[in-house]
Amino acid sequence: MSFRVLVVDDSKLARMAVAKALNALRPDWTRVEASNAEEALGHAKSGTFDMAIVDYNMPGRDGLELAAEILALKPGMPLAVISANHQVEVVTRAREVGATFLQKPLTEKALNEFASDAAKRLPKSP
Amino acid sequence: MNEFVEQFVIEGRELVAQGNDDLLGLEERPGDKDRLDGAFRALHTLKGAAGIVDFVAMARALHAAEDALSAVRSGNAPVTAPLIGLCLGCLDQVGAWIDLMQASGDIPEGADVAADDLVRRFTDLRSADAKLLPRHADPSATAAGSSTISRQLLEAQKLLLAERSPEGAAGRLGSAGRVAANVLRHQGLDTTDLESLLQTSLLAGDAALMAMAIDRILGSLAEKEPDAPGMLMAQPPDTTVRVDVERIERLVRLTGELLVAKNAVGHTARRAEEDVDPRQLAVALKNQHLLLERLVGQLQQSVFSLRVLPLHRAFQRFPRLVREMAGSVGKPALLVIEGAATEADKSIVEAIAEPILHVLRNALDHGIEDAVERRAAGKPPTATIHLRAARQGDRIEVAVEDDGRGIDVRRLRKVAQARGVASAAQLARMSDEEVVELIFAPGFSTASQVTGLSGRGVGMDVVRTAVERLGGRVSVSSRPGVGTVVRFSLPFTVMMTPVLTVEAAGQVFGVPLEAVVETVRVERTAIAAVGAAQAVVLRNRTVPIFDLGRALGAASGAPRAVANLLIVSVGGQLGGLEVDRLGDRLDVMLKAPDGLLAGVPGIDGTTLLGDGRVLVVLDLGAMFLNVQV
Amino acid sequence: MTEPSGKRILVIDDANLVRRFYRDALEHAGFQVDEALNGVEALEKVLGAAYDLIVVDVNMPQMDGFTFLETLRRQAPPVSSLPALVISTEAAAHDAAAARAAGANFYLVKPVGQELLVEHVSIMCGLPT
Repeated sequence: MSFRVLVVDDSKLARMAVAKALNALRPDWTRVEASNAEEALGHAKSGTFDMAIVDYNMPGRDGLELAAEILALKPGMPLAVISANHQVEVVTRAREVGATFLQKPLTEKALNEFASDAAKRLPKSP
Repeated sequence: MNEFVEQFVIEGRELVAQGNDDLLGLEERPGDKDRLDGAFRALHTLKGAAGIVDFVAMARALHAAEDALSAVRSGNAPVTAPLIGLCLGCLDQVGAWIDLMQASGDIPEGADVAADDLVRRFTDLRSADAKLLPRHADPSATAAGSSTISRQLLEAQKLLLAERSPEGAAGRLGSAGRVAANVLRHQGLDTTDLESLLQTSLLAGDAALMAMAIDRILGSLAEKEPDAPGMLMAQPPDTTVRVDVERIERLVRLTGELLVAKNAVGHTARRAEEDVDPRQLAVALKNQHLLLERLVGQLQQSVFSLRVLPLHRAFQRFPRLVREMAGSVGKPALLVIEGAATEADKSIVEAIAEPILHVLRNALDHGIEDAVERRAAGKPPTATIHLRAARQGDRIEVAVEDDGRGIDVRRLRKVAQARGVASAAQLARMSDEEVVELIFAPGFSTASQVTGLSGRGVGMDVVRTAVERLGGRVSVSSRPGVGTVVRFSLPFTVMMTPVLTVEAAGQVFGVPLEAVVETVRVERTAIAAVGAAQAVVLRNRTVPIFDLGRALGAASGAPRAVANLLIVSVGGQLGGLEVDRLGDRLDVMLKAPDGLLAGVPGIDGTTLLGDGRVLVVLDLGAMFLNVQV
Repeated sequence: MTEPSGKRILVIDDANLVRRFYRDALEHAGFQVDEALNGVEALEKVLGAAYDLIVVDVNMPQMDGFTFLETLRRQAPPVSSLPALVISTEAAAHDAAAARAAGANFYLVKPVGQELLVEHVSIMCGLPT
């Protein structure tokens, strides 16, 4: 089953890192990238992805606000908020908005867990 | 270099610049939440980037910086000058690491030591008892030995041992002793003495014994000296440029048009094979040539525009440096930058930073008065230096204006005469404005006292030389008590000519590289006289020889057995230039010959070398004009 | 996961997430970690097992961190001489002084990142660099 993943991070390097890990784990999945909240919401409105990986630390709207907005448009969609800081507040708020928290730098193991879990939750025909 | 490291270098540089900018803004307005968030984000994203390329030491240093700003964000710590200074220092280190990464493509060795040092300094700041930390300087202490956390822990145990309450005294002493011994263990030191001393002090119920032992350990730990302020770290020139999409699209469009033009030429070529009317063909070729000429011209322009950068790239480090320099001479000063978005050719932007910095340093050293003198003159204690840039036609104008005491023209006249820069008679004829310009004369320096900033034996003549090398001009004007303005006028772009240097008759000359075909060594016997001239036969072609040394009137002793010949192509003809030695390849900016050299045949132009010498570039066409065979 | 350090740490905090956070960090660095929700529970633990270091929060129900430390220091050795690291939300200097008066060996202000925590704990346990 192939899915489309939205990767939101203002750092291209970080997006490259996620892309590399995703390619290794799920070579058949495709990626949509966004470097800021506006682009990400644009994708969310046109509905071009099945799950999202959002960086917490971005200029303007932070990743959690963006996550909440994406989930308001696509309730129940698998979404991971990633941050280098394993701060209690971020972890708690991520759970509150219904997102998974993943620690940066993203390990393949953590990403794999998220991806498997997401694939299980999604309807069988994307 | 792998693509991740490449992106790391690009992104890292941008983040360092952004972080610097926000930190300085934050220092000016400590309550500015946007600046605080911006600085935090820059550090955080840099940390993330370091994690991605597995640069653990850099991530650790940035984590410490991030923690420090995090405390500010949560209201647990104030914005202080040491905090900003340390964060800036951390970004400096990160910048240096990025440079090394770019150079080697790998994580620099020994980064751990620098990272540990930064982490320690940040922990210093965080500690509520930071004020009590000793500042011993023991050069023999190793980096690991000066571990700040260890020192802080020891200090904290000393304080704990000073607690007076009898309740739990033995517990405090015992735990402090355990921690102190563990710190020694962590440092890889022997704990036997300390542990037996702990037993003694526990038995005697005397915490002071333990405290004194800790004090002795602390005495041997040291801290590193900070670097001298106001130095531009040598930065490797950027090997990447960011280009906006519009400029790329213009190139794509041009490429499309060039393809069409190329196909048209191909079509014409096929028609030429088919016996078409040559006049028709000529018309088609002429039109296509015109089109190609226009397109190539546009292509050239577009490609040059890729090398255009905002002056911000040169200016971005100045606020930092001015802040540090002002701190080190004890004269509070603010740098106000206008027009940093003004664009210029990359080579101009990269080369202008050093001369401007020199002028800023001079302003702080000599122009700006100390706070007492300023107050007496009715000026605000903090001096202001304006750095303004603007585009004027095809030139870039940059001005550095301070509100200091101005240049003392009377003193300058005296010094100029004393140092033989100008005679008394010359000086008498010169206006004040002309005298002020003498500060650019070689070897002229009015500093009556060598200071930490300008006392490096370089004067404003170095600034002038550097600016003239770029094809620019620099001038100064000053009003007593009001301030000094140094103005730079720079070309928007620099056309560099590659030359090969050659030596003849003890002098160095440049030869335009585009004319050079090859270099050969031939036996003297192979050179034959042809009429009044000399020539050599190379691959069945007779090549006339021009002996540069003899033409320069060098007292030619016995000619060398083997001649060094530079075979050049002049107006479709080959010629051999005999020289004593071949030098280096240089990219230089050619200036039309002026002064004594103006109108001398055989000289194409001149250029200033890095050491201030003038390199004469030869006009080969004129030289070989009379050497036909 | 780093190889086991052989050092045993007791983390005392009433917030589950915070304990979890410290536990993750310390376990990852090779420490053996026990948890206690408050001072009362912590006293039971320190009297029942040998620890190398205590990491303790200040504000907790039942018995706060300072009261716990004062009680700890009045116990018989070797329990009384257990090194203790206080982690507080208060940056005020008087809080650091209060922690010291209660018998704390060191004091850190939140937020404390994982690396900073591990670094302090490692040194306080005498682990080599």
